[in-house]
Amino acid sequence: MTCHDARELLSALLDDALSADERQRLLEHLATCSDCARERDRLAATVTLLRSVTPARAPAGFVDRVLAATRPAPWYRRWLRAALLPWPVKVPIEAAAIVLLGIGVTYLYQRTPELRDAARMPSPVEHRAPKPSEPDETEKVQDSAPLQANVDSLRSKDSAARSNEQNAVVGSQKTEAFGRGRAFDADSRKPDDFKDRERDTLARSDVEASRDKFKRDVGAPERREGGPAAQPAPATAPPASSTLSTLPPAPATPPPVAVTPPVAASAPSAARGSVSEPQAKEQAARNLTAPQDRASPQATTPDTHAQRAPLPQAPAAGAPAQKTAKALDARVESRVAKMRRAPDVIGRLSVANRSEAEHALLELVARHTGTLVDRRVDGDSPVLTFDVPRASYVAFARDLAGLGRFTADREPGASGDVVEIVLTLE
Amino acid sequence: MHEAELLVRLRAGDAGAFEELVIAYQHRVFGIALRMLGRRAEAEEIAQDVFVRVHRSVAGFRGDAKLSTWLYAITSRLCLNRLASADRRFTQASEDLVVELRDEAADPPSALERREREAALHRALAELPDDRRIVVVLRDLEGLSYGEISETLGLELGTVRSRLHRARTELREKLEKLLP
Repeated sequence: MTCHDARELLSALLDDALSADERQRLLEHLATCSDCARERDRLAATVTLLRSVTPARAPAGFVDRVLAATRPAPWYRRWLRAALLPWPVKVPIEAAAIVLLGIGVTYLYQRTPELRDAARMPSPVEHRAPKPSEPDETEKVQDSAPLQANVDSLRSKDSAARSNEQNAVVGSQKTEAFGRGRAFDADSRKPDDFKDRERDTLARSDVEASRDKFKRDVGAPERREGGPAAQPAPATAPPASSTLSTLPPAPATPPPVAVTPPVAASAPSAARGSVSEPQAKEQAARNLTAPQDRASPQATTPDTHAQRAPLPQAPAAGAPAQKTAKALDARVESRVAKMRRAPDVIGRLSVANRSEAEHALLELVARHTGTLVDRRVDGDSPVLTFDVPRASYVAFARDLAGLGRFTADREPGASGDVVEIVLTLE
Repeated sequence: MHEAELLVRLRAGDAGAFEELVIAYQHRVFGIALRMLGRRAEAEEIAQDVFVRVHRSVAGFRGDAKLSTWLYAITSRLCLNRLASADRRFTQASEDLVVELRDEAADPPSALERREREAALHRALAELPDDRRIVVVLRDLEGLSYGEISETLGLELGTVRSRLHRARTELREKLEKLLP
């Protein structure tokens, strides 16, 4: 046995864990090898030292703590643990709560701008000067679609039509505001003078748009006028009153030339009563008597503006009137109301001299307290649109026959305070 | 205490039998945990866990091994798992053990010498690899036989003898100054 083999067995020799043969051969080697014998003694001393270590003792109360830990918990504690603590229950609930919270936050985040826009929409309407005849603001924001759908019934009910026409004003402005987007909201925050200017521009562009619509609906021969649908007003724009006086009666109902709606022909719009309001009358009188200084705008605007020649007898003293918000709103409402109905009478007046006949016609309109609404040129023929009080219509028609050969394609209905006439001078 | 009789009572759910088991083996189980982990609080936690596990699974214990061997096997496995899992080291062992030795010292001069010797001994133990330390603890501190150690740790007898030899040789080199 070598020393290496002997030392591998020394530990087992101390524990008496060797076989008899191993023990015998090891003892023989140790008897002849002093180094291995000394190593055995050192190893035995180490084991003695290890076995002399004081045994460890469990801390006091250890048994009680172990027994308490192994004792079954009270029923209510077990029930609570079963109801609240298990992960298979808590984790899905918490995950679902987090997901729902995220969905809710996302939904609100996406919806908030729309809600803000919806809340801002009434602001331009509220900014307008309040009118005694205006209904509640909450009625104004109603959609104007019901008006379109119920034109027949609305025409037979004056008050209802009046209210809905005002709704139409709001609807038109609302649509305009939607088209303009956030710029409209930004404009609404400007100071009042800017607001007035912006509203004036808005009204003019709206007028242009409605005129183009009217051309499309009627198939108007004014196609050669071309030009942008909503051409911006020039810097030297005429007064709002002059501009508004040229508004065409762009109908929201089917075109009167192509298809004649029976109701529209037989029952003139009761809503037309709003046109005969004192304010509108005053405006009409001013249109007939006040001079129209259109030289500069016509010189700077192509086609469309150039076609609208100034009225012959229109005085030239048309200095820009002071545009108050209230008056402008009234004009816008009147214009929109006209846009939403068809003319009562469409006729032709064959004359020898159109210029003289037009002068005479305007005098006739003024004599019968009528209002010139629009003038345009269809080819070489001037087309005049004006309102005449129903009471004066018979006398007006009789006098009109004196100017030339008058033929009417449509005759006015039995209701309404005003008869709207579109007359082409041939 | 007769282990076979105690095991029968434990399987029957006798609370008194479990209490007797805890009282009989608490110091040995705690001692193994303390020598292996070096921290009294951690050793108590492991020892308590050992008895809780025994209480929970004693009904399924087949009795192939001795009840004490089963207890030592659970204790050894929990200690080795704890040492391997948390990347922990055998720290503050001497301080914890010194406190215990100081309380037991009756003769001040002898107690001081004894405390220094045991402190050096535990430092040497702490420096052993875990698989060698558990063998020397079970054999030289707890007095288990080679066969019991083999059964407790699931090792071959030759492996136990080899590990024990290497552990003792290493300790002899570390404790050379304390040897007579």
